[in-house]
Amino acid sequence: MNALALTTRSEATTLSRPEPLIAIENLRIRFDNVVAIENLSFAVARGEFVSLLGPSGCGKSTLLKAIARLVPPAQGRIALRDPNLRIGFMFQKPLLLPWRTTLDNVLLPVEIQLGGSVVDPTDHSRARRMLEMVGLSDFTNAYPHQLSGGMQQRAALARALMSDPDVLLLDEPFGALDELTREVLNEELIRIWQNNDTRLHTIIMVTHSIPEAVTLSDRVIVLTDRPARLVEDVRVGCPRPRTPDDPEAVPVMKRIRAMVRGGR
Amino acid sequence: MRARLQTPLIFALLTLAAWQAIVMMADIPEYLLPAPSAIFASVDRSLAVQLAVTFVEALIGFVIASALAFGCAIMFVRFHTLEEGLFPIAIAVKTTPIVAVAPLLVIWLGTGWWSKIVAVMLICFFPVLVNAVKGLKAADAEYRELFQTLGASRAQEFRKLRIPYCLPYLFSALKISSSLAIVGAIVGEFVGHPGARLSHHGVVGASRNGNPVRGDRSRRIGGDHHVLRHWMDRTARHLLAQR
Repeated sequence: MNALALTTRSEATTLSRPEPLIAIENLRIRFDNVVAIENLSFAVARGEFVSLLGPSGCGKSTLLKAIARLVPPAQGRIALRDPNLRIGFMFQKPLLLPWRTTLDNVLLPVEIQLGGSVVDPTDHSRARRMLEMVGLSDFTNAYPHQLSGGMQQRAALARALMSDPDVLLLDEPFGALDELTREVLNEELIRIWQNNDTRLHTIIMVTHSIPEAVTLSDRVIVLTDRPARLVEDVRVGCPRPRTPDDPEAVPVMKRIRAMVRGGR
Repeated sequence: MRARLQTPLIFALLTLAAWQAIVMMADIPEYLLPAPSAIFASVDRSLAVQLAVTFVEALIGFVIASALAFGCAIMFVRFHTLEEGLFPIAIAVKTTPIVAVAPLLVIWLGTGWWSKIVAVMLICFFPVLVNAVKGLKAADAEYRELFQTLGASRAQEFRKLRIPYCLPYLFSALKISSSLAIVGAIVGEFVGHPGARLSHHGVVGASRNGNPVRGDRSRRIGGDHHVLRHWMDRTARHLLAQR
């Protein structure tokens, strides 16, 4: 096994790192009688791309929603280093408003922030730039039903970027798309994360695809089935740009697969 | 527009032709089923006036009831307690047959416009309320989560998500209640009207063929004897007497 490509950090060493951007401490979340997340701790540093990996229905999405303050914790806490940290969220479904054009959908976060419907020309040009970034310049005036599934998710990504987030939370963003589209969009996601045109520096993504997690992330947080507990926090050391067939990536994938199987 | 009118028009004419043919061929007497030609022959200017009166009653009731119902629906969805508490009452009101309530409306409100408008409102309110509540709740929970992540207020959630999502539901409700509105207006007129209204013509020819029951009775029930005006008169007299 390639020791350089794979270093495993225990919970304790992760927590002891200085000032994480987002720190999750002893988190416990429950819905009525079901415990979704149990005693979970890990931290995310600025600039990282972290994947949350686990069997479907294990509480990964709940964890992401908790970070976005959509779900309150029953115990423990989620600490943000900067209270003004801007968090963007992208769902598995595109959730575009069917009566709005692509451009107007992308402008929605701005309208909500301004509290009205008046959007000034700079916002318009910024929305166009976001659409250009996700490759939808030719479809600014199309309605969602005129776009393919992949294009709809591109529009949703542009909308998430429009609120100019520092951190982007992605809940299986391309999970409903075909393999080829998914690969292309993952590459574009990495490109957007790496370029400095936006504030965006940190991404936390939920996935249940091991190759996707390993190809995209700096770290993969492997979780057990419900209630979600930490199995291991895996650092993926492979050099970028990566593809799922990189020889360095294969042992990492194997290792994670063994964890997921054994974690149940 | 012309193409959209063409088909219904042709079918309407065919139906009238079939009706005419059946009446003529089976030799049905006019007091059982008059032929379309006989009906058109008896149309005069008063019908147009009465048609307009009924239409205006129905329209006013329809507009007020729809606006009220939509406002109520927003309150119901915004404040769940209101929905829990008031929906059963709305259902109870709806379950009461309009024909049973209409005479009371005449006693309470007189034989003028308002008894008819309120009858229209009673019949139009419920379909709009039910559909609008359903429509306002139709947007997926995920859409609401999206709005939460964008930091939208409740008002923004209604304006930019729930109300646009509700519009198809609202329009199908308006379609139903617009036809019910005419029924409401006619029922309102049926039990009490001071003068000429569409219900005179409603059962075509009946009043012309010596069946004067409705007109006379409604005049007896309504007129100056209705409770509200009586009570107001009495109160007014009391007040004057005290001075």
